[in-house]
This record gives sequence, structure tokens and C-alpha cells, in this order.
Amino acid sequence: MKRRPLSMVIVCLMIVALIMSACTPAATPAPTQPPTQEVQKPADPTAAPVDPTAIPAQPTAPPTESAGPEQVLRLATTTSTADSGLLDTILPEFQSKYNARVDVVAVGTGQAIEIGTKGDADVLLVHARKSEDKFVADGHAKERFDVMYNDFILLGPKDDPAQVNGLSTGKDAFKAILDAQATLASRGDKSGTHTKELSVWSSLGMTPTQEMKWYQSLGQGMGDTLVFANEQGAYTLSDRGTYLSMKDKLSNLIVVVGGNTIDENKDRSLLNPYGILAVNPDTHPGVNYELAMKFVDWFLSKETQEKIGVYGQDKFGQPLFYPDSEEYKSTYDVTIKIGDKSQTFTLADLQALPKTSVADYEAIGVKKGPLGKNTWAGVSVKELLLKVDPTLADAKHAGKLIVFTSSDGWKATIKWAELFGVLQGGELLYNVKGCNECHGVNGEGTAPKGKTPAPKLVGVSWPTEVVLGSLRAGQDLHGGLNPYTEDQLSEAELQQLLAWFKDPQAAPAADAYTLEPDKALAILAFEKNGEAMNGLAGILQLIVPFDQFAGRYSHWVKTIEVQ
Amino acid sequence: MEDLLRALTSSDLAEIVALTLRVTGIALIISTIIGAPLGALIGLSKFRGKSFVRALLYTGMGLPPVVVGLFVYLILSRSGPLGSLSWLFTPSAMIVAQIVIALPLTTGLTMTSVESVSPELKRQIAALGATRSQAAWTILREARIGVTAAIVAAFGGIISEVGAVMLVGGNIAGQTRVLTTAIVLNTRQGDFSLALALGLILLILTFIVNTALMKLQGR
Repeated sequence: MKRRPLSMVIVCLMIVALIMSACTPAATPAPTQPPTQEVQKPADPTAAPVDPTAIPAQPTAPPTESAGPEQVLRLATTTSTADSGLLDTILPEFQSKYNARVDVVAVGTGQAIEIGTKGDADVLLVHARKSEDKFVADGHAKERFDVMYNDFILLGPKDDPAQVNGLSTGKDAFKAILDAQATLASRGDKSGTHTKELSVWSSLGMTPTQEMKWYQSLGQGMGDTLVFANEQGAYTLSDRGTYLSMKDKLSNLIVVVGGNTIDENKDRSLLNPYGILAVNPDTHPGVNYELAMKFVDWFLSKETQEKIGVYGQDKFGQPLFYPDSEEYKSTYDVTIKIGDKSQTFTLADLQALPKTSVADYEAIGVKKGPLGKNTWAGVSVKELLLKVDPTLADAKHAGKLIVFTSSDGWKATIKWAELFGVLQGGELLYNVKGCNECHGVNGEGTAPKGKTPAPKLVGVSWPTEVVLGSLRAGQDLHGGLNPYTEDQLSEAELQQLLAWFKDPQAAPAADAYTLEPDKALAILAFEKNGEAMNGLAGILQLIVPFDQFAGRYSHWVKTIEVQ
Repeated sequence: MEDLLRALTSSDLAEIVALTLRVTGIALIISTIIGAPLGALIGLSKFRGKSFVRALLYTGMGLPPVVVGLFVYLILSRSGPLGSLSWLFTPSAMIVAQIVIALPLTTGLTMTSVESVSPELKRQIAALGATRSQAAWTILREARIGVTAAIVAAFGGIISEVGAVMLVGGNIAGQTRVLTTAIVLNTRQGDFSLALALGLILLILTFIVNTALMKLQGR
């Protein structure tokens, strides 16, 4: 009898405690369905503090997806899409359009796929193609869709101990790092980037192990790995977006493979495609498939894709992601503006026009893009312009400029005379040898953002020996360009160039440089080596194979304006 | 300093601090409601296997939070036993994980403090003719410094914890982002100074709460 009161008290306490513990978390902050939370989002701190009295007020039953007016979609994604700020920029539109809240769980691709495999996310946005295909094959998703891409680059310390800088492929660079036993920081976390790195190693027939002292497997996210590489003077593979967004904090690192933009990345195997997958409701009944598919459709729609395509443009001078959905690709078009005339051609319109093809040349000087000896097919820009304004070939238009603007805001300008073929001598050489790309349309000099500033050339009397010396030597003496060889620019041609710089108004000599008609061609290419280009290769690339210089405008052209 | 200002004026900060306090507060209350009486019961009773229970509690205090997180994750996953609750990646999951981390602390430290109340006092209480429940209450009051220490230790353990809440909460902006996961996020993005500023805020918050708890203990 004596023992009873204490045990009673304790048993009662225990029961109370158990009941509390059983129902409190359910009641607390609204699992998946807090109808009021989003509305109050401009954080009212007084609404939040612990309120135990609220506990019994809420049901303990598991919430259902249709309970509140606002639906919740759980997106498991890789850190690059979230950390870059892309999702914060584009998601609000979806959330208001579908009265839905998107919960973004940003982890490595490996973990994101694991979350999907357990059915704990409704939709995945990831970048590891093999794992994505396996995810579909295992029945966790019905289908995978291309959504966007960017590229991987190899970063290294400024002193470049393995002498990687200038190598064009990841494979060659990794070989050099291996030979030099230079420190390489690996993500080591089964992320998309780690998977890509391992595939480059396997192309060399090897798998890095812990015994290799130079190989540092960090098991960290991209940001941490970049910081480590910056501190330790290590090489590391990174997606370009994360690098760009952290560049100001990574003063010891330079891009050794991949160049300053995706166009300069010669190694197409370093492309980094992202896929979107809705988790299959047949294998994971708990998921919100209906909303997930709405999300997928929205993400692949032209409007969203266009937003993706410009994101980062103003901050980094280049987009962080390039749109790649089927819908986006099929709706690609180009608008021609001549004076007050304007006409838009869809890809289908262009394909219906007479096709022209051209074999490109090795680009001179510039360490430029993926172009090699390829055959490009598309529409002649000259013909296209004449379709909009048949009088454009008249000599009265001679002073005009033709301005190409790409979907990512990039611009290129050529002279009317370049297309309609009356240039000769130094002025022609200036354009066809690509001088205009850095030094401006009329040799006035430029300082474009993200590029080496190029000095004014015109109106100056340049000593032949000095110019020839720097052209032949290249590199530091010529804005980082590769040397121009005798084949690419002879001394006689240089004399004509310098004569034009000295006096642009002077008439060219009788034996002035001219172009054969088939070499003077600007086209909007949509086929490469006989195959239709997909988004990864670029649709509607303007390719200008004037003489030896080719593909100098390898961007997606959105408008062509005659000014 | 600039970053501290930036952190303080950030519109998300109030939300993050509120969620941090809510999750940790609820987890602390529940683990105290369960842990303190349970610790007192164990501390005052003599039973076979008590040393085993004690060893178990001490081990629990050393549980790596990320392991707790993984465990809670697997249980709450849609393919886990409690998947139908749909708690994963919600604050509820974070509360569950924090309770599991805090419970050994509140229970174990209460047990120890009750045990350390001098045996003479216990005999004295008995001699004065207190019932068992009166005796228990008096001893618990006597041990209140130790019990407060248990709560403070549990609070410090869970408010500063990141591995488990990151795993089961997912660090979703506006939903499950607390101070510690926000610090990890900013560190990951290389924004060390903002991360440091958030760390300072966390420290100040902990200081305020601990001061308040000590005031309560004084009464």
C-alpha cells in the first residue's frame, strides 16, 4: 500500500508525457499542409513561438494532399540549381500560377536520387545521366526529360604546376595532373560533378584510390570543394555556374580547361545536362504526381525556358544554364528587322528555305569553341535579309551595319559590305581575319566585359616589324591569342591591313585582297555534318566562314537587325 | 559588422530564428516532460539492471546527431514504417530528431542530480513522515540545480545541432531552415562572414535562453 502513491504519480506523468509526445509533433508546424504559413510568410515572429496550448487543437491524422487550398510539391535537386539562385528566381511564378508551394531540398545529385528512390520527393532536378536512366529503368520515374545544360570546367592554381592550361580536353588535363602528381580536390560525394570526374578518369582507364596522395577525396559540396582548392592550390572539376557565382572568393584559381564561356569549352564531353523526373506514383503511391507533372510541363515550357536562358546574364555576362527542352527547341525562331519591316522565321520556316552548306575552317588565333573541320548547313543570311527587303542589295545601303543578337543577349556586328561583297584590301582583311571581333567594327578598339580590352587600330601608323612580331608570337603580346602563322596572315596581307589602319579612306591598291564568292558566306546553321543540331550543339548558330576564319559568331541568333 | 547588419536586416532572419526557437522549444519541452520524471524515477529507485539502464543513458548522450538523423529519416521516409505521416522534410521530423537527441540528456542528468542529493536529507525527509510522493517532490526540488543543468545541456545540444536537422528537415527555405542549417548553407556558398554573423546570432540567442532558465531555477 505504501508504495502506491509514488508509482501512481509517476505512471500518470508517464502517460501524460507519452500522449504529449505522440500528438505534439503531428500538431506542430503543419506537416506538408500548412494553409496559412505561406500567406503569413513576411515573417511575423510573434506567430511562431512555442505554443503548447495549440497542441490538442490540431488533428493527429496524417494530412492529405487535398486538405488545404495550397498544394505542396517537394523538389529534390542538386545544390547548383538552388545555390546559383536560379530556382529562387523562376519558382515564384509556378507557385502563384498553381497555388502551390515548392519545397526545395538541395543536396548532391546522389542523395537527391536516393530521396526519389524512397519516394520522399515528388520531382527531381538532377544531373547524372546514367543514374537518371537507371532511376527510370528501375520504375521510380516514368520518363526523364532534358531540361537545360551548362558545362564543367577544370580549375587550377595560378602557377599551374601540372601545366594544364591550354590543353583542350578534360582527359588530357587529367593525364597531365596524374603525370605531375599534382593535388586534385575531388567532391567524392557521388554528386553529378563527382560522377563526371570519375568518368573522365575511367576514360584514362583508371580509378583514383586513397593511396594516391595527390588525390584528395573531400566528400563535400561544390562550394566547400572550391574553397579547399583555392586554399590548397589544388585542381578541381566544377560546374561553371557555381564557379562563376563564387569567383570573387576564389582569387587563387584560374580556369585551365573550358575557357571563359561555354563556347570556349572545346571538350564537348564536359557538357553538363540536367534532367527532370517526376517520381512514379505506381511505385510510390504517396507522391503528388499530378502536381509534379504540372511542374515538369511548366519547367519545359517555352516561357520558363527563356527565363532560364537569361538567368545570370546581367550578373556574370553569360547565362548560368542553357535551356534545352524539346518544346523550347521546337519553338526556336529568329526575327529579322530592317527599318520598320520585321519578320519572324521559325525553325520550320528556315528549313523550308533553300539550304546552303559550308565547310568551316580552323579558327585563327582565338582559342575558340568546338569548331573543327565540320560541314554546316543552313540558310544564307544574305538570302534571308533579301527575303525581308529585296532592295537591301542596292548600293544606297552601303554604310549600314547588320547586328546579330543572340538569345543570351550577346551581340555581333558585321558591315553591310561584308555580306553584299564589295569590300577589298585592308578593310576586307580586317573583317575576314577576325580583327573586328575584338578591335571593333571599324578598328576603333573595344573593352568588352569579360574579354581582354583591344586597342584602337585605325588612324594609327603602325610599324610593320612591331605588329608582325606580336602577331607571330601571340599570347601576351596579342591579348592572349594563339600566334597568327604566315599561312593565316601573310606579310603582304599585313601591309594592306596597316595601310588601311593608317588611312581608312584611301583607295585599295590594284592587287588588293579579294574573296572568292563561296568563301564569303554568312549562314544561320541548323545542321552539322548532315545531322540536325540539338540544343547541346546549338540551333541557329550563325557561322561566318569568311576566308580562313570560321565560326566566329557561334551563338544562338535571336534577332538580326539592319541599322 | 556589415555582415551582421546584413544578417539582422534580412527578411528571412526573423523566420529562421522563429523556426529555430519553435522546433528546439517544442523538442525541449517534450524531452523535459518525459525525461525529468523518468530520470527522477530511475534515480530514486533501486532495481535490477539499473546499471545497465545507466550505461544505456550515458551512451545515448554520446549518440552522434547525424546517426539519429539517419535513423529518424529511415523511419519517417515514405518507404519507412511511419511514412504515412508525411513528416519527413517538415519541422515535425526535426522535432522528433531533436527529442531523440535531447532525451538521454534530460533523463540521465536528472537521474544523476537526484542521486546526488545527500542520503542524510533523504533520511531526514523520511523521518519527518513524508509520503513517498512528498519525498520525491522535495528531492526533485532539492536537485533543481542539476535538473536545470540537464535542461540547459539538452537545449545547448539541440539548438546547435546541424547534422540531423539538415538530413530530416532538408533545409528548405521558409519551411525547415533553421540557424544552423542556414550557417552551413552560407559556408557552402563561401559566404563565410554571413555564416559567422548567423553564428553570433545563434550564440546570443542561446545566451538569452540560458539566462532565462537560470532565473527560473532561482525561484
